[in-house]
Amino acid sequence: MSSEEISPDPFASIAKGITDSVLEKTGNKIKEWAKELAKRFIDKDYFFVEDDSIIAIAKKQRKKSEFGLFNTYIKDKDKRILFQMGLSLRELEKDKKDFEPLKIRIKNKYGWKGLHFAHFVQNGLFSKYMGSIIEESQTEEIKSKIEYLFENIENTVVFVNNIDNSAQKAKEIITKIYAHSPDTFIISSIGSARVICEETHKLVMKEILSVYNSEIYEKELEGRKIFFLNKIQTTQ
Amino acid sequence: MAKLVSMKEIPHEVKIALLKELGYDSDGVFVLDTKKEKVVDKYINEQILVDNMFIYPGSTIILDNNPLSITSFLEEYGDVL
Repeated sequence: MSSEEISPDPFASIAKGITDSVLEKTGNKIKEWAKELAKRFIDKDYFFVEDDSIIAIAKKQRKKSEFGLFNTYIKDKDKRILFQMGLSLRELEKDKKDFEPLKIRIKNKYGWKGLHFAHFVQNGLFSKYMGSIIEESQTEEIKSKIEYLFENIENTVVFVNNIDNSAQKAKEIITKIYAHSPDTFIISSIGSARVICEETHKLVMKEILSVYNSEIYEKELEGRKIFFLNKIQTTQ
Repeated sequence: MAKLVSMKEIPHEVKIALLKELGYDSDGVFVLDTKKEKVVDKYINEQILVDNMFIYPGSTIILDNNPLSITSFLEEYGDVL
């Protein structure tokens, strides 16, 4: 196509290999194309995005059954966004894409609590958590349990790192459990932290064995070891 | 429904000219408003790079193109994309 030619579709004109050097010589054409793009935009024929894969990621998470389940119980906009951010982090991680910038943005907007909740979803813990409560709870009860989990995420979930000291971590967890007495407490780890996580879990269970039982999830989420400590329900 | 156009295919100069047509401006790097101040993404409070924009018609919404802003947009406006 000649640099003087303008296609009825301005996007096609621009996309067909017109180099920056040509554009430098065709300032008027740039304006013409921009005018045409703007017209299509104002007429709502077009919207623009730099990298359409970001939109694809965002739309995909909204169609996932996990989000559908969460959506059944939680209508709060920010909580819904955080849930989708957890799923997006998982997607980026799976595709081996850099998810650190997104984590920073989540933390900047929603604080550590928001980031921990997104991390909770990223690690597949929400589905496991739902599995542990859904059988024995009524709808309203499930809703309040999810709300409680969200509001108290820092007192109900611990992520063990490979630099942690198991004795110190166990002490921290026991203190949280005695202080808040949650129905479910989650200890999660990934990769090389799994050994420390297991040691920590043993020390915790020694202390709380009469009050909590423990379930382990390991095989389903590759590379992750997760303990769900469930409060033993006593009948009166 | 409006058609998605990837701006990866649009030269930098055309993006700036497009912004001007829409009543905005640019210093070559960031999106500027009519007062020559940097436009801030309303969801993440970050300045918007010309080479990483999301522009949606209607009341002309310009955002940084990242998952948090796009998801926040979808929560506010529904599944319009």
